[in-house]
Amino acid sequence: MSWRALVALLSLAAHQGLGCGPAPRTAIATVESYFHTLARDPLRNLELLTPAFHRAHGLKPMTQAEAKRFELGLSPAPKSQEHSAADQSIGAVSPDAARLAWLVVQMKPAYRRLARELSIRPLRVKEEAYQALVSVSVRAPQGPRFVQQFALSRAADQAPWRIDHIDQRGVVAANLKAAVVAFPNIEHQRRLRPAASN
Amino acid sequence: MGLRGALRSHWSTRPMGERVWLSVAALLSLGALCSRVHNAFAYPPLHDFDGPGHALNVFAFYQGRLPDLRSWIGFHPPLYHAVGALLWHGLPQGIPVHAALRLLSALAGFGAVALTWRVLLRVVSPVDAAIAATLAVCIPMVAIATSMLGNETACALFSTWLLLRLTNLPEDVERAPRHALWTGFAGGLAALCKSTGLLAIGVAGLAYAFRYRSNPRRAALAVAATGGIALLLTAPHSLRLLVESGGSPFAIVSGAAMSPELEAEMRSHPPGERHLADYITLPAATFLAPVYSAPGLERSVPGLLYASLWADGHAQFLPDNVRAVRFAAVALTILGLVPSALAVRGLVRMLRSTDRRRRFGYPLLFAALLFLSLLDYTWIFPTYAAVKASYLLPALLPACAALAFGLESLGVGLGACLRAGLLGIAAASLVFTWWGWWQ
Repeated sequence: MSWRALVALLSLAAHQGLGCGPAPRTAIATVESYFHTLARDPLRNLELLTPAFHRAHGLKPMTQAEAKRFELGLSPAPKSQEHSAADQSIGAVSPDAARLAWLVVQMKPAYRRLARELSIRPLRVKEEAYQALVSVSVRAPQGPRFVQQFALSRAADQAPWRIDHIDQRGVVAANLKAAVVAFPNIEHQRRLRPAASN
Repeated sequence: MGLRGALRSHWSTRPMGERVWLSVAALLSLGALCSRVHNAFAYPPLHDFDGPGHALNVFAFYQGRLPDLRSWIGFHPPLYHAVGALLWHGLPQGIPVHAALRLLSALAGFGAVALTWRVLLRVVSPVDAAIAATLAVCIPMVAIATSMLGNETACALFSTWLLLRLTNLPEDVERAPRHALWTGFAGGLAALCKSTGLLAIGVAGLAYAFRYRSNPRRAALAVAATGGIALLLTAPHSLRLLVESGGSPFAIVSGAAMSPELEAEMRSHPPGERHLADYITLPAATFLAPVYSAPGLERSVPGLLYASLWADGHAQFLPDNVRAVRFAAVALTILGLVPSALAVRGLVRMLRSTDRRRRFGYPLLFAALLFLSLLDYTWIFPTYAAVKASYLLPALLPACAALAFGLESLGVGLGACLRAGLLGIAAASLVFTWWGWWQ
């Protein structure tokens, strides 16, 4: 076999096996891509999210000391009044800091394991010119299903859809971990903290 | 006669013994290449050293904006991240972006070793050159650095190119400025990957000034050519850092100057303080439990440097709670004493030989300055994370040359045993750094 044939064969294999298809074009495809890339391809996942989304999830990078306290299930160390005020201000977390936190949260082995086990079923898709709403039912190995609703937008007709906001319904203690994986955010983190200390 | 014919003819004239050594070395190098491709996909996403930080820089370029200088590693020079972003634009959907960035890093690392091999071929036998290069590409430090996304290996590639040029300075002084121009270009690219490259540019300037001191005008022209082209390449990023940091030159080499929060976080890692004793103690854990959390190793600079050269001293790539991994790490750090001793022997021989001192003097000077600057960095930031052997990766060329000269100095019997031993260590390192072998 000549080297040209080998290159052609490898290119074909890469094209078929590696999924050289286009980026997601529809709102539902974007939502599917969101779940598919969580913890598997975190940078492509980041690409699907708008700055507004990052402002809403509220995650911020933890310092070494904060991470240690979180792992031990302890409540955050008391901060000075000045510090707390800074935390609550809108500018406390820069867009890149929020993105960094979004990436870091996907690194935990338990997160990666559970992310692979999530399966989704589309419930409702409402796609208009520049806005879309997509609801999916999310199922994890343990706990009841819950609903995750995505608000998406795009800047122009042919522009890709991006996720602005996520809402969850039907999250209870039994499926909280799956809900955290499906949409990590500060509220879930707060709910998990007392659970960790038990 | 085509290339294939020339290679075949060249190969068939070699003695059988040499062919066997070269074949084994080539197989191991191929194995190393396969290992890096495997690791790029198998190693969990963003667990790389400063993985999320590098990823964020790439993402910024992908979106067509500059990274936030106040983010974790936003101050790093842009070349690796910008090339990574370009690569992302052309990447098939099925290949995870972090895997492609790791492959880019691997490509740069293999490029650095290939350039080193090319230099070694000029000064030692093809067998010793191949064995030194093969070991270099397999040892845990290089294997881990080339399995991770990040700008270390890209800086090593261009620094090695620069050092290669310094081993081959033209005899004719008239050719010096033109030669210096390309050297400055290599240095500029190195500094555009990581600030370590600035040191390489400084050494290059010194090399031209000293080598051509008998013709001050030409020497000055060569220095100006090196510095000028390097400055042209690095000035925009450096100026941005200087402006944003309020004029602090420290901002060029550390993110701490850009953000007090970042500095506080960097300083929060253990041990948190540094004593002179940390630079001269070598705890038994260096060989018996080569991971930073072992007793005494967190503080010991030489111990942690050695552990991160021959094992995964920071437990970033391999799990430190798996017995088989711990056992393999102990075995490799003990076995690593053999090539380390050979490299020291080779270094002494290099320094004694006028011809080799002349050829490798500047790369050795660069290695010494890089080592001193690393010690200085560990003093300023007294954390275990600052003590990484991969920071010395740009000195790959002088290190490999020392090892090759050490090998060359051996007699026939012992030489064959040690050559086989080094290839055995390379094979063991290959298995050790194949991500997931313990599962």
